[in-house]
Amino acid sequence: MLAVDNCCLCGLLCSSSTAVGIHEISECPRRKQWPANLPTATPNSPTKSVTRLLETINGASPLIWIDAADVNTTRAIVRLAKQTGTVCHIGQSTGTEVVKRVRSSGGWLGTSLSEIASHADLVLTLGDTILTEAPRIVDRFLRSDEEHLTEPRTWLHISAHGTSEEAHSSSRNASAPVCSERSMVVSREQWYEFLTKLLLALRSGSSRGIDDSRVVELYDRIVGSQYCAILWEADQFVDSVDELLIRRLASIAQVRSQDARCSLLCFQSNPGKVTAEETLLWLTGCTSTAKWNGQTWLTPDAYSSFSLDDWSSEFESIIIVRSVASLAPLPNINASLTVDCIPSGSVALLNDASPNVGEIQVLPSGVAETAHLFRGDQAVVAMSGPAIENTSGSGREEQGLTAEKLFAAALNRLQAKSLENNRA
Amino acid sequence: MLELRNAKILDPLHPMNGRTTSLFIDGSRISGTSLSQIDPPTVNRTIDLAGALVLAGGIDIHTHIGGGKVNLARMLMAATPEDKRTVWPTTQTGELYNQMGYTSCFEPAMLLPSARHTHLELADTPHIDSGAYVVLGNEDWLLESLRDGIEDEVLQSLVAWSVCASKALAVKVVNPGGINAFRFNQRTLNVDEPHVHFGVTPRDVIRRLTAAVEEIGLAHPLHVHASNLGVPGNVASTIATLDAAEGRRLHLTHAQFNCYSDDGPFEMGSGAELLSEYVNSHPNITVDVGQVVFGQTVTISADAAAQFRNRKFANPRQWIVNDIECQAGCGVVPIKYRDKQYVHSLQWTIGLELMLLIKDPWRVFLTTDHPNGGPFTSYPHLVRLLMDRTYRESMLERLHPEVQQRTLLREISREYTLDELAIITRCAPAKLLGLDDRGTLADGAVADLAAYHIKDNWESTFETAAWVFKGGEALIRSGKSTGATARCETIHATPDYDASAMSRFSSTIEQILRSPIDTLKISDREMDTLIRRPLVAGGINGD
Repeated sequence: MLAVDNCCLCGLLCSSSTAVGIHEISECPRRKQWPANLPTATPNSPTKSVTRLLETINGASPLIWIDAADVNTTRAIVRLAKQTGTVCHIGQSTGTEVVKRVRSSGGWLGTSLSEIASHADLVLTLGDTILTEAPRIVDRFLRSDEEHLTEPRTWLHISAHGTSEEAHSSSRNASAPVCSERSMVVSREQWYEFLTKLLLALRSGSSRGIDDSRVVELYDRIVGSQYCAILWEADQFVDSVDELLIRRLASIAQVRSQDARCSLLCFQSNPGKVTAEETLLWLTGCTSTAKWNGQTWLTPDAYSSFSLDDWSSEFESIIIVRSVASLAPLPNINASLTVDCIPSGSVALLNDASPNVGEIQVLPSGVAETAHLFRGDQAVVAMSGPAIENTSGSGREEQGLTAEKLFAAALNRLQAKSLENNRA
Repeated sequence: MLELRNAKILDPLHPMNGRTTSLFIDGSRISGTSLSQIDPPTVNRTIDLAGALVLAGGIDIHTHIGGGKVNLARMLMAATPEDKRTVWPTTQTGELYNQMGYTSCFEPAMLLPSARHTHLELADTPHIDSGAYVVLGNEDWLLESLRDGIEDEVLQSLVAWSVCASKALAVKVVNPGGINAFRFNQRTLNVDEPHVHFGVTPRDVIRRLTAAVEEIGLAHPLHVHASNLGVPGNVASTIATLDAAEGRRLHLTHAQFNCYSDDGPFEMGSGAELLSEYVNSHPNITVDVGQVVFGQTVTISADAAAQFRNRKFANPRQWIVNDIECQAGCGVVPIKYRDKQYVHSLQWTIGLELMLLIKDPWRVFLTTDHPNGGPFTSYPHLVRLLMDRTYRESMLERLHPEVQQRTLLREISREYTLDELAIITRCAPAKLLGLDDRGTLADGAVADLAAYHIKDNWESTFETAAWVFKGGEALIRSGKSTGATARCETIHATPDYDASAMSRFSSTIEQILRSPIDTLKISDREMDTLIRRPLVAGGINGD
């Protein structure tokens, strides 16, 4: 029997055991995209699946690309990779990489979702991606009508789209798109200037001379707050120019924190990636790419700056692993094999499978979970699965393979073969 | 049964302490020390230890080795050259401890919402048993309850529930009330200063929590990271913190960081004499030192307020400070301790002064608050400093000249004996954690033990154990890993609590966290099937 059923289709990990917020979890637009009834998959033969996996691993320059995984799948992958010398890589979004670079090269003041819900008297959400990627975030964390707030709160939403003319025109007639108390629009091209003016105003302690009324308003709200939280979704800011924006935000938080509290939260909408990254990090000490050289784990220097195309051309045998349910399409990196928890073709979201690409179907973790690990600054609770416990009593677990079991079985076979060879 | 011949016993709790004899291991337990106690035909294997010093496996009572903030530190320091790192992957952590002869280590700062993460990392740390202390004392709901005059019995249930839910062994408080006050922009919170929102003082928190921990029967006293960590002159508030226990047991952790007077250059001097006198005259107090070691390291703490203050000392210049789920915080700030820098030199001397001035070896413990003061791999070096006065005095020459002049170390002739070493690193930690079957080589104890060949100096001697057994399994042989694995366990306490009293908090906690309270509870089944670490109960008085 499950203690808690946590949806993992975004980083909020809403529980279906208790209605949290105004709407039931079943009303969430992301949840509705997930197939209510997965087609009964033709069970993979575990033996053939292991054979197929090992064939790929033993191919020329193998790579295990972890798209999204639970803790135990990642543990199993790392054990196999250590045995075989295979490179493991967590497929991070560019937005996540940008934040990592900024966080690792200066100071970072972070917060977490329930802190925002209970302590922040000013919440700034940047860009619309946070609202589409985490549809229930408003209900669960941003509404200001909850009785347990320690301070009354203002939520200001800043959209980022369109040209500067559209943005300016839109601001004059700003209306709250999704229940924020206030909203404004800043076009993509204006963001850097906008944040720079805000930072300069905060540093000088005055908005005098600033000709942008939006900046003045934002300045006034920030200096009037005691705990300002700035929140955005990781893929809102993804390129090298956006890295400058993130640095501006980090500086804004630091300058403001000299007088009052101001913290940042980059929301990760893919808990499977967060889980895999955290697990890889504690097991190997490597942040997203790890290779065992016989003595230690390391990240080969060349891989640190690889683009998607570089991975495809560097490695000939690529295995993509997704053991956690996700709505995002698999990356297009010329994979030789996918280990996926959705049958190919059953959901339109997936890329069309190449006829040459093998696929191993595994049971998804994360749709029903009993556990999660948590790191507050990631605003994500992530899975410690798989934990496909039969709530329906359907015996579904017996019908298929889990990703963890697949990789563990592959390792067992390799070790058994090695023992045999040693005896011989 | 395995016979370890020619073992020179170093265990003050053992009747054969100081003598060379045989030890017998039957399965995972020690089973007598003389042939007269056992049936000789049952001995089927013999190892000759050739007169090596044999101690119980080392026990580290306070070391940050698993959890979200440790992983943050790994991330932040990932670009550091490997030979300069002080936070390692979990496998390496276990191997490094094992090499030195340690077999049990305890993570002192486990937050309720990330307890799973802590247990997962501990489960992936091989060769050592482990456990963790749950951090309380800054939760919105706790401070609100203290303000509202919560009854003792209800508070006890909340504390006990928190221990059980997180599978903790003990309770820690970090900067009582102060991390929470920081959210309200209250940058300092002295012991008798009210929290700006909740009106509760750190003294209130200490007083109520020490009582609750005692009443629910936890063997380990409230583990206290005191207010004003790192602040010049903080020894006064530290003593006030200890007074707040009102005679109840209290463990002051990484005492060095809370032991500064306000006299001296830069208005900072050593408060070691004052604090030692207090500890010596108050048998309810125990202390671990948090010794500083020169070199690069990274500080990891739940004390977000203190780490925010310390950010300006970050070296290299990168740091992270977070507020976490209305319960605690975390701060990761790299630091490079320099022997020529006044404050760092001072910190180095204070740790040693405390170790040498506190008389009772059963109440003072050798730690570096790994990695905050330095890596745990420096313990053999610190052992040499404690046991060899000549060496210690030679090290003084490296220090800032003002510190050399002012330190008490020149006047302290004490050298730790081997017995005292065994006490501070084995017997006493086991006793303080309520682990009756560890920290000793007595009959029936867990067969965790380490053998050392005596070398030129104590540092070389204790740097690498010749043999390490974990639960009777040889993990180190002739100084090298055997490649074997041993069963390792998470030790946790299971104090009783009144579920109906706890139900008073459920809706408040759920409103604050915006999640079901069940998400905070780790079940036995989860430990077994998902986290994959055997549990063993302990840490309760009278168990």
